[in-house]
Amino acid sequence: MTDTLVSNECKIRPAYETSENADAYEVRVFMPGVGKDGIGISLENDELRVSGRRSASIPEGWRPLSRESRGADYQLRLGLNVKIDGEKIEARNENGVLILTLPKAEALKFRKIPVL
Amino acid sequence: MKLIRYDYPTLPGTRDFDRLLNEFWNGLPRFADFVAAPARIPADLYEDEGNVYARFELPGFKREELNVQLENSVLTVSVERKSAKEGEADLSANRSMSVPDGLDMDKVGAKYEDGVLTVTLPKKAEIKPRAIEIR
Repeated sequence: MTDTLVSNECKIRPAYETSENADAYEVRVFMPGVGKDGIGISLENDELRVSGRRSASIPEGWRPLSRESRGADYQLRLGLNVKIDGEKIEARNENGVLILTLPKAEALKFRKIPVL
Repeated sequence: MKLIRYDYPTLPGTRDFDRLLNEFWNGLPRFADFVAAPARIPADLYEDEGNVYARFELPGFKREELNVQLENSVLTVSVERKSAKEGEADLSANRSMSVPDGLDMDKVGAKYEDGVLTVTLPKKAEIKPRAIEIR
């Protein structure tokens, strides 16, 4: 018997948090069950797309007694209303949380102007 | 007597419609998806021949922040994190679920990987299914 929740093509929109410092924006995307190899990130026309494929689906022979989690993969689309340096995006995965660092575009950075 | 789960028969023609309907509902964002910190830790329970498995979705913790306890067939997972930032509240949450009887409580193991905590509870030898030889 195939698990309909896993085989379903539909995606979960993961929870996420954003924060900002002087040089960059940080986006933390919560995707439990997704390993480093299951993550896809793309940036196109100010839309940031994150996809996460679960690494360990349920092992063969496990029978569900009760289920609350949804076994589907993740997809998140974020429209960016700020200018970022798309070339320098950094990403790391820590225990099911994808941490994206989006450096601010040079023009946006805080600059101190010396008085002559 | 053995209880067998009853699968509702589906007409061949309705399967596509069911699929469409499911895709429609699953495609809509759920209310829970808007809440950054879920109030309840999602937990699943599985079994196979030898073990019962409890899985908890707990993204973004360190191993030492997780605590697993088992008491009277109730499995409790609790998380605690001291806030790193000034002025931010400490985080703590817990989740309990009852597990079936007949487990070997001394051999329980837990593994944390990619934000999913899996607790393995071995069944006692006497309740494992075994083939009986006919002489």
